[in-house]
Amino acid sequence: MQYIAPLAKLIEHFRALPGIGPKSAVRLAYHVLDMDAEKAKALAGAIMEAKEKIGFCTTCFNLSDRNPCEICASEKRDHTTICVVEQPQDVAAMERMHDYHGVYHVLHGALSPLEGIGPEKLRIRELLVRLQSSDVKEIIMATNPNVEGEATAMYIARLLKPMGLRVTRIAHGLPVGGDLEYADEVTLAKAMENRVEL
Amino acid sequence: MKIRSMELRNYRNYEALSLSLDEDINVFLGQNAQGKTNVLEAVYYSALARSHRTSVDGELIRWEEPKGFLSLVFERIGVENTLEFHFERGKRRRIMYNGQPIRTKELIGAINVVLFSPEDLFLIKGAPAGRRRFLDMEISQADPAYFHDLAVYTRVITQRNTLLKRIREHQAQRSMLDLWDEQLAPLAARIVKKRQKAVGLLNEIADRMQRKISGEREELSLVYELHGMEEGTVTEELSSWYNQRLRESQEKDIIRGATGVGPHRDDLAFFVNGMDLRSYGSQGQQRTGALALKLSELAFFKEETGEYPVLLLDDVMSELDRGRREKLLDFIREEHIQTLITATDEAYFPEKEFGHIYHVKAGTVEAG
Repeated sequence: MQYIAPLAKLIEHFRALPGIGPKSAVRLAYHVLDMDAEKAKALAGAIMEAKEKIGFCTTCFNLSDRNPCEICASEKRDHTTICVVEQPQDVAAMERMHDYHGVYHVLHGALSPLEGIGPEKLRIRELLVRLQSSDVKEIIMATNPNVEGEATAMYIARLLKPMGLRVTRIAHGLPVGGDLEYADEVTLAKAMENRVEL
Repeated sequence: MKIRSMELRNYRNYEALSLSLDEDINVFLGQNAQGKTNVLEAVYYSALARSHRTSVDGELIRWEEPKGFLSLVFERIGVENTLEFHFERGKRRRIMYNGQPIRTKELIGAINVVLFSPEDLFLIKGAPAGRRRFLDMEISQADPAYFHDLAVYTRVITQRNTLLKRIREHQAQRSMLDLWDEQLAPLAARIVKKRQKAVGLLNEIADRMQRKISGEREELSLVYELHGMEEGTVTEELSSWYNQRLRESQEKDIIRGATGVGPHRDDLAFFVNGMDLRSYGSQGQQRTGALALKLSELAFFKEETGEYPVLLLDDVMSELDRGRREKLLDFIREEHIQTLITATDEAYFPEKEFGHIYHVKAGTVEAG
């Protein structure tokens, strides 16, 4: 069956979203039609507001509704330590930990020749510029522990080491609160490799 | 290990099948396209969570049925276990182990199988990729970490090869290669070390098998050929050796747009009485070699796990001559290896006492 034009359009827009298949798109579109006009307007408004008000912090390139962002502007933060991550979501994850008091730098991706992502497509130049005008002492590479994340961490480490900066890499190994006997072999091997002196 | 029984519901061309298996030899006889191989495939699937014939689980469900089901009761070191697979179109399959849902990762290793099909006879004559796959499959079943290393290695190679092409087209800097090379070298070294160890073990067993099949006339040796290492052995650490080779081959790699050194280029060589079987062996010798290799695989599993795996012989009886066929059946009987055989002709089997015969016709199985 063919949907009437405005409905078809709405379905197509939902389908273009990540994680939404054809069936979910139809379900969401019908749900929107069932909504009160007020609620539908609020939803549309929220989308527009987020789009208009949220941009990149021109210091750390995290998403923010102000510039500089809350973290970069905060005096309680340790501005001599920068944690480098791939995505804004990674900042959110780190912040949930409540234990890191430094600042961030979001690369917006990782090196991947397959996807045509070279250093020029990441916010690496911006990181270098940022380092020139501040007294940063340590850079923590918190890119993902996969081949692309490792390559990215290595690339940045090589750029920064000659500048006399301390560059560190987050550890990978066993999850906290987990049982040794349930860990898979690969994780265990990594944990052994990265063991620390007691 | 032994498979006690199996049950299929709406699986391939079987509507409902309940089968208890003999703990030695089980022969499935029937014309083509009646469902013989489907039975073997079900056992293979239970061991590796994938079919050797398709990568699409949906194809396992009977035509026009929404769901399919496969279960096995098997015994390992004297303990009986049940394994179930639930298939549903458009959904992920579910695996239950003794009634508990498990993940694929947890399944691997529960059941070990060795499949011998006509393609295996070309293992020695064919391209190196086939021999590498043979080694990789073998080691992976015994060592899940190897499987992971292999997947990561392949990913790095793909990234590096794309980068090589971009450098050739002046779209990327050559210095970027280091980032991938440094990840590649230790991975390559780990993979090669495990392959060398497996070949060492296989070599011993395969020689014993070859002597047996050839009536002590031929000795077989397996050699792992490290690409880029034409003679001698690597004296330095393998990982730094790879680092150096990768650096040396950068120029050539950029021109070709592909990585010229690494375990993805290595090969497995077979020598009978000192002669390279791949290029100089007669067809008969190559078949003997392939058979010896398969039998070694059985013994390899026995050494690694303590028990023989289940042997699946898919349509190979007609490909072997009488002498080799008898040697094979002798070995299976002597060692009490549970075996499932498909064949179109009863004439391939000795007449008395070698197990159970089942007649397969259009999705039904009758004990003969």
